[in-house]
Amino acid sequence: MKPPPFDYVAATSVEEALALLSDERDSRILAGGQSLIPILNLRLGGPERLIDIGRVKELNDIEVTENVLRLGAAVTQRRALRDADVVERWPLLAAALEHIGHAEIRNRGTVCGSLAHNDPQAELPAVAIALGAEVVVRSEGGSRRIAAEELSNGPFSTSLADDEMVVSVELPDQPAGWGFQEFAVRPGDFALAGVACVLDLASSVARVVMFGASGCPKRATSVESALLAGGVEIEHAAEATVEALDPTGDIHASAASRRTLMTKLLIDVAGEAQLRASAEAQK
Amino acid sequence: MAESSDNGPTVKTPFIGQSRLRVEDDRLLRGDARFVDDLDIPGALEVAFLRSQFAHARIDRIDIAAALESPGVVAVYDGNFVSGHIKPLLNAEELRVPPGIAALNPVNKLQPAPILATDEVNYVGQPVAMVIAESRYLAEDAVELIEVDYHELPAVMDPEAALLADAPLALLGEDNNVGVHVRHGVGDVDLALSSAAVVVEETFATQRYVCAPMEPRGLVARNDPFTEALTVWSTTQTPHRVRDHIAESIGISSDQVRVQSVDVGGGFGQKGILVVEELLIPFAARDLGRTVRWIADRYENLTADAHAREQIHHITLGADADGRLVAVRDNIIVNLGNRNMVGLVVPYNALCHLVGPYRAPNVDIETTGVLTNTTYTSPYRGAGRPEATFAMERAMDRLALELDLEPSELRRRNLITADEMPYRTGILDRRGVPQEYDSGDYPQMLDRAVEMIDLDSVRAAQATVSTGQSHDRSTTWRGIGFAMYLEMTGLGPFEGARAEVTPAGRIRLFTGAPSQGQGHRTVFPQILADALGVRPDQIDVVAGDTDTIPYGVGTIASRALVTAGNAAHQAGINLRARILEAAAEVLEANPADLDMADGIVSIAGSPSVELPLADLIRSIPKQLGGSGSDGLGETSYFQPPNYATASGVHAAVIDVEPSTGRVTIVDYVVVHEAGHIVNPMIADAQVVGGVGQGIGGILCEHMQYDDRGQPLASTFADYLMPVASMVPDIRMDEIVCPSPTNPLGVKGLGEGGAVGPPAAIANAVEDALRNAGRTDIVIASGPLSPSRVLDLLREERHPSP
Amino acid sequence: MTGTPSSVPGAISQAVPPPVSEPTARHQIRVTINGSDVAAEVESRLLLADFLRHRVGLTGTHLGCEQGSCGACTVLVDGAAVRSCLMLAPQVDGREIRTVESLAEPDGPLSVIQEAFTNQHGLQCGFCTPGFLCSLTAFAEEAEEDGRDISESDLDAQLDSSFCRCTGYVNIRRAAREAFGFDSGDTHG
Repeated sequence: MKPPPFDYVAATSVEEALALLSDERDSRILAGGQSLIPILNLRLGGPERLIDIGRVKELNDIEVTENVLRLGAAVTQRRALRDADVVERWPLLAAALEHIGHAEIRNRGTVCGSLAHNDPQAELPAVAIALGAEVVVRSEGGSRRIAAEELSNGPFSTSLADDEMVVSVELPDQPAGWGFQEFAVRPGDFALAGVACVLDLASSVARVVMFGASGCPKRATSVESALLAGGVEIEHAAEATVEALDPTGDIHASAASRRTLMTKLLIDVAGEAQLRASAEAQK
Repeated sequence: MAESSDNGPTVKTPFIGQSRLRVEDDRLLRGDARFVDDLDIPGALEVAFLRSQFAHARIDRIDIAAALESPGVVAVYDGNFVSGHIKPLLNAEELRVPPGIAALNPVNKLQPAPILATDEVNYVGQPVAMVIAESRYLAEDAVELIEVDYHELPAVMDPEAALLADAPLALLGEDNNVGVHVRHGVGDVDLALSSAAVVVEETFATQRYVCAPMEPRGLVARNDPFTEALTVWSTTQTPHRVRDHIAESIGISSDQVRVQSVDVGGGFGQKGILVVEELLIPFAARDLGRTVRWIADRYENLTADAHAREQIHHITLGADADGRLVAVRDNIIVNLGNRNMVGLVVPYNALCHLVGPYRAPNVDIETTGVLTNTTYTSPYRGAGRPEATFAMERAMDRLALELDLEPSELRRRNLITADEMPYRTGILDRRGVPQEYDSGDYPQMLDRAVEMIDLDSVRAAQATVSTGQSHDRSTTWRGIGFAMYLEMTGLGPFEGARAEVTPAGRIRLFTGAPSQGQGHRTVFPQILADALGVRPDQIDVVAGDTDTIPYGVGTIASRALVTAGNAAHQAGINLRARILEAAAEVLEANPADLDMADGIVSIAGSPSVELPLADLIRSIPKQLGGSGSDGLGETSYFQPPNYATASGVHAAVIDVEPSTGRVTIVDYVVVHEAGHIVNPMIADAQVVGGVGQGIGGILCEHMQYDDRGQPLASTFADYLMPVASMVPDIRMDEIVCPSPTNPLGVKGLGEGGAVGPPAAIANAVEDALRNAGRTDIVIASGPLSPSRVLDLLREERHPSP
Repeated sequence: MTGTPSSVPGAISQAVPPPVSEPTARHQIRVTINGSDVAAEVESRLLLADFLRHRVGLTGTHLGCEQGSCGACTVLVDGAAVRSCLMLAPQVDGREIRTVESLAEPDGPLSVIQEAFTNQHGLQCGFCTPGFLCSLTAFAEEAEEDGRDISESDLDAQLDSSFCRCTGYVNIRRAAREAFGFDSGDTHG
């Protein structure tokens, strides 16, 4: 199927994009388009106008400071993945990026676009929560920061207002303890279940985020507590966490299978994070 | 093979048998292919269809007014209009019942498909209206403006539910949901079962899946004012059938229709049957006097084109204490979709291939094709054989378990031997004559497969695996499985070949069997070159152009090599004789003293005389005192007297990861037999390609409907095709038992590869689970997706017997 | 077709324009396609794949799913492999595009990857092949750019990004191994 009619504007600045976004026409931001264009190609509705931000220079920046990674809204997953600093200092992000589609998709798809699209099966919303990321959004009225955990407003929906757009995401330094795994039927498919985790024993931070199996990403708080408590009760905590989950059953997996997979992933990923955290502690 | 006639070519190294690289590749690799959608025809209009969103509904009203006003729209057709101009669709050849089968009193209802729905829709995806516009984009815009009032009717999607007395009718006006029924067998199964030492009774099902060639179906039709004829460029596997159907349905002479296959991106059966779109586009081209193009998109390909494979087998095997089969009974339910589109083809293929390579004195098989409110179905690579093989070979494994025999040993005890060939099974084949396997050596194939896969070492490795629990996350469970099958290939009634010398002195070969990737331009010249005394690179193939050879059937049912190949062979022999006669006239020599090699005629004992074909052909029509015959060409039609029965054994070693349900293929062996092999590289690749599709079928592919008849896999994100990492390198071996049914001794092998994997892999997975202590699990159907395996592992253990 | 890139150095060829009835906004774009400059007027919603195929006449790029899943439409945009069904024609203004037609000179030898595909019988119908070729070409170039060695398992993983229905992938994998200097495992010599 071909896309329905819409107009296309290539914005040259954030200001231009914001002005267009706030006029009376129904507009959507086009970043990489790897989620949006498939939807348009199924004619599942569509905006009157797409505002392409791919050419806005300032949105294409990757900035690494002492303790923050800032990715502009037009930074592709591929560029992030090929950035030596990202790979070295934010290995959780890099590991997750490897699982997004295939190279051809990552070459266009953007990190921020995935956050703004908020597909419940996608990796990056979960990773952003695990990393404690903040999304910087702007409108003509100004800018604000939204914690990744506050961004989601349910599947395919965010707390952004109609005239707001994501301009960047900021990731604080990643602790040495981390883990990421997902399970998909084929490489590159959306995960049937996935877990992203960071663990910093010194500052008592553990964030374990589940995705893919049941609506939007969710923290596995009892697994986090178990990790901080030394990790002996992880299996039990994982089982209890998954017991409380209400997973999706669809043509790709039964709800019960998603439970099984999520339990395994929680245990495995928590284990990975513990190993890395303790290796760091022994340095 | 080539030393056939007394004046045949002196062939030092026959081209038949060589792994010659493909002549097709260069164009395809450079992006210079011409698939239907690549044809550059200025002004071609594009088509989009409005398709039913309901599985079953009455149409109360269709309003196309707004669509007609949409930008770029040239025409909008609805059912009321076209029903006055195009006859409803019947795949007449496929629906034919041969006399021998007719004697079995089958049910085979003729249920013509309306060209566009008028008052009733019977499946989601059924064409309701056709928009023709300046671009596909504009046509799709207009489709959204067509208004249809539907009144939803009860629908039934499950074939067994459709057979219940109170089931809704899938097709109003019918008495019930049976489209096809036949029961056939030999001996007395009841009696044999009553005295059998062991009886196993199981239900095995093959899920619905889709051929899904990478290029969906499509065609371009152009009405040429100069010739007043229609030219249709098509993705069809059967161009002559399409030509005749177009002519018949729109009421013109078949002389006014030319159908040409161009580069075709895979077919696998989906493009082997005719659908209404293939009649509508030529009609519109004539009606509008414009070139019209329709290319199905993937959404249409998955949801509105033919599906395949959905069968349920209630199978019973009886054996004596040594494991020798005494009886086979099967009740087969085939989901035909909304209409009986292809008759007995798939149901009867399943019936007559079920028992396969085994001796079974008593057989009783009933097969019922059931109508449901799902898309129509077509044969798909194997056409009933993968489904039947899944049932039979799973049942053989269950029988082996009952008898505490190694499954390969049980098979060995039941195999028909080479000494028994030709072997008559006692039942009728698809043509309605006694089924006779022409040649084969099944025990030898099995022995080689057992050795190659190294059964003993797999068993030894299994013995060390602890019967671990599924939450032991590092465990994998190994299993091994076999599947044997045979395939009666080379379906008739005929295929033709015309070979002629061109004015440039090259050879052109015309045949009705086009290629969808099988490499006909490479393979047929190898055959013809040997028969003729030229090099393959001196031959050009034109396949599937109805204006170049008047009759043809097509490339389906593992038949092209057997039928078109032998026709090319015979045409080559005849043409060689004509060439030598003509050359004898020119050279004033005795034809018996002439030879031709590399396309150059020479005289024995006179090495200085050389007559290249280009010189010969130039002198033929104009030669002083010549025969007056015009040019040098010979046409031959080959009608196979019997099927050429190919066969194979597949052996799979798999690992199951119990913590995730993932099945990984560790080793995969195919030993097959398909007579003489013309191009081993291509032949092996055909088998491997089939294996890839079979692996997809057993591990991930599944076209499901919800309870309102909505297809649940409408994109490639949801219809899971296998990817490279799921298919291991396939290890192959072959034996050669030349077919006595044709001069080349060849057999078809295009489908065989797809037949074995579902059974072999399911057997291997069940073996792995059993070895790990889960003796209660019976794998009744695919796909064995990770979730499905987890579901099986989670099921309550049945009480141990 | 008028839009076929000209081989005259410095010449700008003009792509076929949109249908007059097309309702969406139009854009003037300039693109370098396979080394030639192309000027085109394109509508907002035109997919890059359709632009290349139907406006520029480069039909080697095929559409297999229009969802980014199958890979048949893969082309290189500024050196990176992308799905041309998931880009809009106006998005490529000013960019450099390479399609399967550019991988070998029209009368020149096949590229190493193309050559390996024919040697290993890595294609049957050939519909998916341009996607595999573009994907592997970008993969090789990117590794070279990064100064990175490609392992056999990297290569295997890359092959998962495209579908092939004919070959069962075995000979595609052999072709890729041959092209990237690994043992192909070929059994036909």
